[in-house]
This record gives sequence, C-alpha cells and structure tokens, in this order.
Amino acid sequence: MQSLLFFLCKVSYERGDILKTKIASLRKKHKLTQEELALAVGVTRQTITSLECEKYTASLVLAYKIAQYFGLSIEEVFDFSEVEEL
Amino acid sequence: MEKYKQQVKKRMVLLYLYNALSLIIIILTSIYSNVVPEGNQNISEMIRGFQFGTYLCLQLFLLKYIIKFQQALKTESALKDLYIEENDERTKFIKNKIGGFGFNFTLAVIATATVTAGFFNQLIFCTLLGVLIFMALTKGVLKLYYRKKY
Repeated sequence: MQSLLFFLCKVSYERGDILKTKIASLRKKHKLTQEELALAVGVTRQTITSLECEKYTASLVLAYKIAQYFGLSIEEVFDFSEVEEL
Repeated sequence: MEKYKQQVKKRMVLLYLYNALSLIIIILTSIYSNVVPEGNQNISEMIRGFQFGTYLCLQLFLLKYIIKFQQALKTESALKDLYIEENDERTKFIKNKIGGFGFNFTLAVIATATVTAGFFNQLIFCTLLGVLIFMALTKGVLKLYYRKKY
C-alpha cells in the first residue's frame, strides 16, 4: 500500500517538457538580481527562480520578453534540444 | 498602466459597496441572532461563534483589499508591483491548476449556505461545515503542492 502511494506520488510529480534555460548565467553576466529581472519582464521573483531551477516552463510571451531583455533570440536563452518530437 | 489604475479604482468602489452591504447583513442578522435552531446547546454556541467568526473574517478580508488598493494607487511603483502580483503567469498557472475561480466561488457559496443553515438546522449546519473544512483543506494542500512543484 505504501509503495503504491509512493509510486502514485512520484508519477503525479513527474513533469513533461521542462525547458533548460540560460537565464541564471545571463543574469549573472549582466550583473542582475532575480528581483531586477523579474521587474523588467513583469513577473514575480519566484517565477524567475522557478525558471532558473527548471521547475516551470515560461509561456511564449514571457520567453520572448526575457530574450528581448537580453538582446537575444528565444533559442539562445532556452534550450529546445531535449523537447520530444512527435 | 493608466487603464489598470482605472480598473483598481473601480474595484475600490465595488469593495466599499460590498463592505456596506455586508455590514447591513451583519447588523440584520445580529438582531435575529437569538434565532438559533433547537438542539444541542453546545452546537448552538458553536453556530453563533462560527457566524461571528465568518462576519469578522469577511470584514477583515474586505479591509485588507481596500488598504492594499489604496496603497497601490499612491505611487506608480506600488501600482506596478500590484499589477505584477496579479498578472504573474506562474501564479495564474497554479491558480488554474487548483481550480481557480470555480473553487473559490464554490467555497464562498458553501460558506454562505453554512452561515444561513445555522439559523435553521443544526444537522445541516454541521454537514455543510464539514464540507467547507474539507474543501478549504483541499485547496490549501493543493496550493502548497503546486507552489512546490512549479
């Protein structure tokens, strides 16, 4: 019973396509804090933390805003290489 | 941001209206507060306590938002902070995962029904209170879970 519960929790906790990002390194390169970047792109600091930890995938609009902020393209900020193709 | 400022001002007016309306309801119900269904004396006391607690929570909740909006309208940066807080996509995503508006609406309806049932029947009151507690706990647990997950 306990192992079944553990399995169910594990399955429900597994995430689908989570994008790898270069936000943390770009932010450090530009000497920015999470708070400053968050304010610039119009999200909370927690969202930037989640993106950097690869827990949350940004929407297209947010990805665009972040890429624009660093003067790069979306592909240069987000790594799509591990996204499964159908 | 000017459009959002107008929106916040409109919300303030609505909050004042809600507050006035809830005060009227509180006053009216306190007049009839002696109308408690027959049955266990302890449960009757609990019903009165619950109703008073709900009124107090409602007032504090409305007051909290009035103060929050008033402060946001004072400076441009505070307004921007409020805008970000309300429109943050991760927060919206988590809210949607939990059930968002539908869940909150159901909670509000059940809370109202619980308070109303307290005037008529102890058994219905206790049943609805149980449902309310279960739903509130479910929401809390889901919120914690998704905040940790995303």
